[in-house]
Amino acid sequence: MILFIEAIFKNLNTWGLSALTLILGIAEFSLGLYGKKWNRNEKLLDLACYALPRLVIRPLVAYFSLKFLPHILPDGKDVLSWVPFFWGFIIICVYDDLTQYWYHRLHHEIPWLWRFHRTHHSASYMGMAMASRQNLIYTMFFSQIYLTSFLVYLGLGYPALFATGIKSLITKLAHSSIKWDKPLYQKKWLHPLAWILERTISTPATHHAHHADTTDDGVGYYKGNFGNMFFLWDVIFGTAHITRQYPKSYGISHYEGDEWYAQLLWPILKSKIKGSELAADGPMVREDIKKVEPVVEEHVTNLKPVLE
Amino acid sequence: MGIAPVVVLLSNTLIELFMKMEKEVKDRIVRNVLLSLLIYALPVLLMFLYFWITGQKPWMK
Repeated sequence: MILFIEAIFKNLNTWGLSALTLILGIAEFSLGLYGKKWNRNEKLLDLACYALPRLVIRPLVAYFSLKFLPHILPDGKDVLSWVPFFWGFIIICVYDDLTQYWYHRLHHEIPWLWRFHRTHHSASYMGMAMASRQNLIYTMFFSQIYLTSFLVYLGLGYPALFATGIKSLITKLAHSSIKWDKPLYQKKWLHPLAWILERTISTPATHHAHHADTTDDGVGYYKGNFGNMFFLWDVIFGTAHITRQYPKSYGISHYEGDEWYAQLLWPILKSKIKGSELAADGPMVREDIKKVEPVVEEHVTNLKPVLE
Repeated sequence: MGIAPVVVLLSNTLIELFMKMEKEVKDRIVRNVLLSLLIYALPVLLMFLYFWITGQKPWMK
């Protein structure tokens, strides 16, 4: 049984996750969950972001693990191989995901870093198509990849196999436009499970809120919900926003479809869209465009004349 | 050129950018980073506490 589970995770980390992303993406597209928002520019960007990390990042991490680490730390290999599986698993989960929480949060809270992460938020749809969508420099400096590779080098490779596999599944499913968590909120007897789950791991409801194009409607909250595998970090640090609802619209309110290559390779390539954050003379952070809510008729009809 | 000057330059740039941020956001980051250091240490401390309680010394094997 253990060998079978081990084989699942080995395959998941090599080709399984890419295949799962592709299958889920096709399912989402076939169900019409991307609507008409997935135009040529967005498709090119999403596909480039899906393919490039596999061609660029994997060799980079392989170089870091096989050449750089043995060079700077020749005696460090497998020094922690005595750590029992359970503790190794916990250590990898915490170190990898908490580091990613910070990497992600700082890209939102330090204005200068925002444009490196903007590409991930410009998609006006959720799903597998945009789950890997990132600026190449943001992906290259993914801090937790190097930290986890370092821990693997020190001897925590076996627990890392399972921890990173589970993490990838959770983060992919949190981005999915298939709202797998919805039944948990609809059925009352499942509410205790929902309560625990939504505070522990990232779910479509909490992560979709992070991708909303507004933070003022009580549902969307791009100023928080930074967790990737664990939502617990948001709960601990006070950046959590739980509503059990899904935003009406996603993306960036002022997004005007910056060229796919500019989004992928900014600041090497710049956007031609005037006033864009990715344009040569664009602002570091552009103000949100506030949506004017249409006046709902019932509010008007319910108005009563004030008698003085 | 070694990697150290690049790391120093990058750190200085980040510190400079950090200093320019809103005080409220900056203070919250500092508070949360300190708490994070404790969280990073926690699994290692708990592991050694477990070894101490159970009398195990797996690093001796």
